Amino acid sequence: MIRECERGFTLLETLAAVTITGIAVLGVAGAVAASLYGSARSETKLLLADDASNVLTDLRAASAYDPAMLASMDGRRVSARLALPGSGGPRIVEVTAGVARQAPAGEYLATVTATAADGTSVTQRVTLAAEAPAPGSRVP
Amino acid sequence: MTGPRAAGQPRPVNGQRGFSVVEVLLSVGILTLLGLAAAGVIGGLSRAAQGGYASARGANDVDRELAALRDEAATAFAVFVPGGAAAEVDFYSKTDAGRDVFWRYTFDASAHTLRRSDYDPGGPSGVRDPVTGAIDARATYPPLQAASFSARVLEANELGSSRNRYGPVSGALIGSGARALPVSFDNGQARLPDLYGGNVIVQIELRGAGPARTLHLLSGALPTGFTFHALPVAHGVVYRIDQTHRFWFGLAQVSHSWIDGHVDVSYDRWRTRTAWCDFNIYGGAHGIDPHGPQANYNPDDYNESFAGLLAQTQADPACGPSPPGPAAPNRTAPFTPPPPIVDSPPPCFTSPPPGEAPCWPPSAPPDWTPSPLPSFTPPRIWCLTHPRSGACRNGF
Repeated sequence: MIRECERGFTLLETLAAVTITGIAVLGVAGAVAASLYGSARSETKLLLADDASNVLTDLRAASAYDPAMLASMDGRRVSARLALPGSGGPRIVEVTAGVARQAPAGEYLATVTATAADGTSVTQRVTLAAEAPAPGSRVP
Repeated sequence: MTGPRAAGQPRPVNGQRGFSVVEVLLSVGILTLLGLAAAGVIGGLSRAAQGGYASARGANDVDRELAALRDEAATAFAVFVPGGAAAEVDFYSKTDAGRDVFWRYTFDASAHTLRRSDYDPGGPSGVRDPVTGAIDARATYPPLQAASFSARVLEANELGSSRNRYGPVSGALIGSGARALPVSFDNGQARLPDLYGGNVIVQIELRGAGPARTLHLLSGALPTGFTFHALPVAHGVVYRIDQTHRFWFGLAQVSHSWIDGHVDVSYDRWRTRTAWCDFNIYGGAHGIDPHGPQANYNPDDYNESFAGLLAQTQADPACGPSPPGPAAPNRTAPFTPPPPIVDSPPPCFTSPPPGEAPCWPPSAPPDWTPSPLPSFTPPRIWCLTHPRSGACRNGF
């Protein structure tokens, strides 16, 4: 006579155990996949932040000495699809940039949004002002 | 299939018998297949995670390097690419003691490394001692593993061109009116043809373990402020207002600066040059403002970035004995002059000893104390290298 504590697992017990183990494995796999996705997304955001920052740097370089340049950009809003260097092939980014006058007078808010193909986007803003007269210019 | 039972062994009741060989083999086979599949999945995920980690680690390394480049550009007078060498980007700045500082990042295509090094033009390359300024040619900075690197100069009037990765956006906003405004340097040593700041951009493309990164570098000290140098008498630097929002004159106090000597600058890569002559700037609690003959002078009319330009109103060679200062703006309401300035120039400014005009010579011994002791405290940076000076004992 087999005692109660020595009998094998029943089919139900085995199925339950397999199911629980499967769920656990799936959970781990999901966590790893989510981590990988998050990592890739944060990398995308880094690149988009570079893109927005670079455009803002361009705007600053062009306008830092030149109030007229700033005024000419006021109210403009442009958008372009750029093919930038990526991992294997080009990285397609939609970049939207705009400049708008703000208080106090002489200051303008530049806003640049970079959007990746998967919809991830990063927006950066900076206040532009003609911070110094052009080199070589005379005090009026 | 069951074997013969031993005599006297109890007959198992239905449902309690053991598994048959076929059942065991079948279950072992199924479990093995499941195990292999699970191992494959886990192995794949593990490899992906490791790859992701390695990529993230490489991306972090690149990110740190780019952040370093960005920070260094923000404090540099010039970011330049000597000789158009795409595998190198150089920086130029100046210490508070008036010493030229050059450093560069060089890409080694064979070793796939990007490495920083300090150098003196025409001299050794290595790691600079921050105190003595000497280059240790045997020392090196740790390299960054990089698959590729390139640097190219973009003048401000090229920002809309195809040379700029972001040309379609920047160009559409800027239009065709952007002017290239290079600012060159001449202090007797650092007069290199490619060395100029201003509103020039250096476009860096760096690829490490991850995707290629693009970075636009703009020298921080020049484009929006004003920088000038003079050796050996004095030098002054106005940093960008939105970064430090104050002056830092190497040889002066917060409230008084003496710019003395002949300073040459160029805004067109030395095709022409501008001479700067003596001038004084005094200031009070409201900041620096010229202490000149302007009866209607309002310090609010001139923000900090104008202070450097005051010197420019005296053009070479007609530097008169007193600076003319800026023209007073037209104002309908009379202006109430600011409170009297209590600061007075220290003795070494009013009567500098021969050959030793700076109040706080960087070459002085660590315990050097000027006599008579000026009423002004020395710059903090001077006290760091002269801790035993009597002028540095009150918290400086």
